[in-house]
Amino acid sequence: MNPENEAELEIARRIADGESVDLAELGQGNPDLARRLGKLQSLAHAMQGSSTSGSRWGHLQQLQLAGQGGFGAVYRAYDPTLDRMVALKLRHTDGAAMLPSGADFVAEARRLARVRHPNVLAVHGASYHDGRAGLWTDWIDGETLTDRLERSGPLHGEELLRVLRELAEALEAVHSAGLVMATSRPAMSCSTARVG
Amino acid sequence: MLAYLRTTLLNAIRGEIRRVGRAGVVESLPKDSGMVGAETPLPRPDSDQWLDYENALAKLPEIKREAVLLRLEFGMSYAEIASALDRPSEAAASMMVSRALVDLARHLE
Repeated sequence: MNPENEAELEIARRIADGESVDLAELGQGNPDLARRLGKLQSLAHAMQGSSTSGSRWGHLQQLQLAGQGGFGAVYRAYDPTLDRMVALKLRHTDGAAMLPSGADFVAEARRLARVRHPNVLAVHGASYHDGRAGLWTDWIDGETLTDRLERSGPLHGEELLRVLRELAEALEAVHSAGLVMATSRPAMSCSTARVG
Repeated sequence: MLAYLRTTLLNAIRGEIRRVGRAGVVESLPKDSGMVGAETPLPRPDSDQWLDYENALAKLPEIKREAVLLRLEFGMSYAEIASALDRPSEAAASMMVSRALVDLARHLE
């Protein structure tokens, strides 16, 4: 397969998966096909919006509501690119683009995506679709620290030291990326029985 | 005979989706759809563009036409498409859809 065909197929795949498409590069080599793929993108976008609204967001599929809060909602979803289940956090439509601090939600999420550490939830991406800002991360089947404390009381000894060490290492990784963790609560910490 | 029944069934389902879907729901997309900064809003297709799409679709071989329908119009996952079109894997189904879409685009005016 020549590189031109590969570029065409990648654009077609992105259209099929409801992802954003940049036709500029293809347009330099094959402007006529780029124009036609642009038409196809509009048609596909309209169809995806009408037939699958509610079950998809961008390229993520099979959305199942897992929880809701003041920030928006969390869904369990399938990422066909990663071929795994992910957690999708969608902001409410109103005020979707900005955080209470005034920071841009997606820009912040993209910065967080640079952090790669075994004790930090991996952010796989962030974007806007259908007027809603969202980010997707590992899906974790596990127990939050809040649940653990409610289940069997305070931590002691080795377990307490292990949890504190893992939290400290996670905070160090976030801070090393130039980000400030404004709040850290037990509900935001989770033992990873299984990821993905 | 099976291919004929399959095509008839697909057309019936398409008709039903359009009856309740495309015409009305596309018009009710959120007003701020795609307007929050990261993506350029896509123009809504008009009736001529839908006709162009139908004509291009009709020019595809049947198996490619079905791949386009199942993915774009029915919103099926690649696992479902692989099963429906007898492909060995989700990756094979994805590649088939992508190739069908490139062909479809070439037939658009």
